[in-house]
Amino acid sequence: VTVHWIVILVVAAATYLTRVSGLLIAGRRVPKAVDRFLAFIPVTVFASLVTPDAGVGTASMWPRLAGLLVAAGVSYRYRQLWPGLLAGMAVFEALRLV
Amino acid sequence: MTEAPAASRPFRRGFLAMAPLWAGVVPFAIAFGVLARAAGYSALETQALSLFVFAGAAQVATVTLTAAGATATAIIITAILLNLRHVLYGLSLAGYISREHEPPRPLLAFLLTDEVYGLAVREYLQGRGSRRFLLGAGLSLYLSFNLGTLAGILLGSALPNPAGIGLDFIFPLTFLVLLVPLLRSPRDLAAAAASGALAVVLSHYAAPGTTILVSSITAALLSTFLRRRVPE
Repeated sequence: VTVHWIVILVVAAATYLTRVSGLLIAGRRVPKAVDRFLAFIPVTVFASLVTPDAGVGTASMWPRLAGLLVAAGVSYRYRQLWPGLLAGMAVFEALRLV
Repeated sequence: MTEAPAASRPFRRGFLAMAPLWAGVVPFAIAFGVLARAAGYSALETQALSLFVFAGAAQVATVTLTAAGATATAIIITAILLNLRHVLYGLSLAGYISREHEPPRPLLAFLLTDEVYGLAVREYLQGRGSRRFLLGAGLSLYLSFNLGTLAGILLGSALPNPAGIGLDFIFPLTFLVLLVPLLRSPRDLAAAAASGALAVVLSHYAAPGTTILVSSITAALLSTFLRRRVPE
């Protein structure tokens, strides 16, 4: 449980450092390759947080894949968090109980 | 009726500009509160994450990885990776805010999220941006996010085990919904596909934190250096 607090405080400090560093560096030039690498990071991190939980090879694979597909479509259309979440959960829960 | 002092108007405008996003932030924060409790974080620890970290994606990743048994090191590295984009937001805003002096940068930095950056930079691009607008938007998000977390903590004890009713599925769903609007080119799509595919394979052999770390860095590096092979 103490580990939780260490994690919380270190994650908080690390998060703050990423936020404050850019604002304080101000005006310095970043190499183009670094810039491009960083620009891909949110995309690749988010993707790697999705697919291991898609249930590939498990009993709940189809409800999960259907839910993810619908959520992707809805969030592509509405560009917002909540409609995609609701639609994905609804499809997943409905198919899961069939 | 007295007129608000001139200095407070950008603050109020920023605060209200965030209002439409409350509809997305509050339920997300509620879900986070419920899931953090399900992942074994106490009520106080859960609220502390929202109070001190104030980064939704990193917080969800932190509690997910904790529940999955990842090491503290893996959790922290993942959170740093997820937050690296904030460096870019800061670099992007620094040029605009350098003409003002108040409120101080270290305070504004604490509130620098995707949403706050988005609203603030749009305001600057329209020629009426200010540090006070950023502060207003940031506090608006901070308040709604933390109240939502508190609601999730309070609701959590009344709800059944999230995994039992399939609520754990909200983790991959959330990141997918965060991912989709970022896919603006075949290049982004290729980077996401590479990382996602790699993660599925790695997850059978490596801990969750390592999986995310290795697959996202590998895919981002490949995308950076193979960029000429894929159209923009």
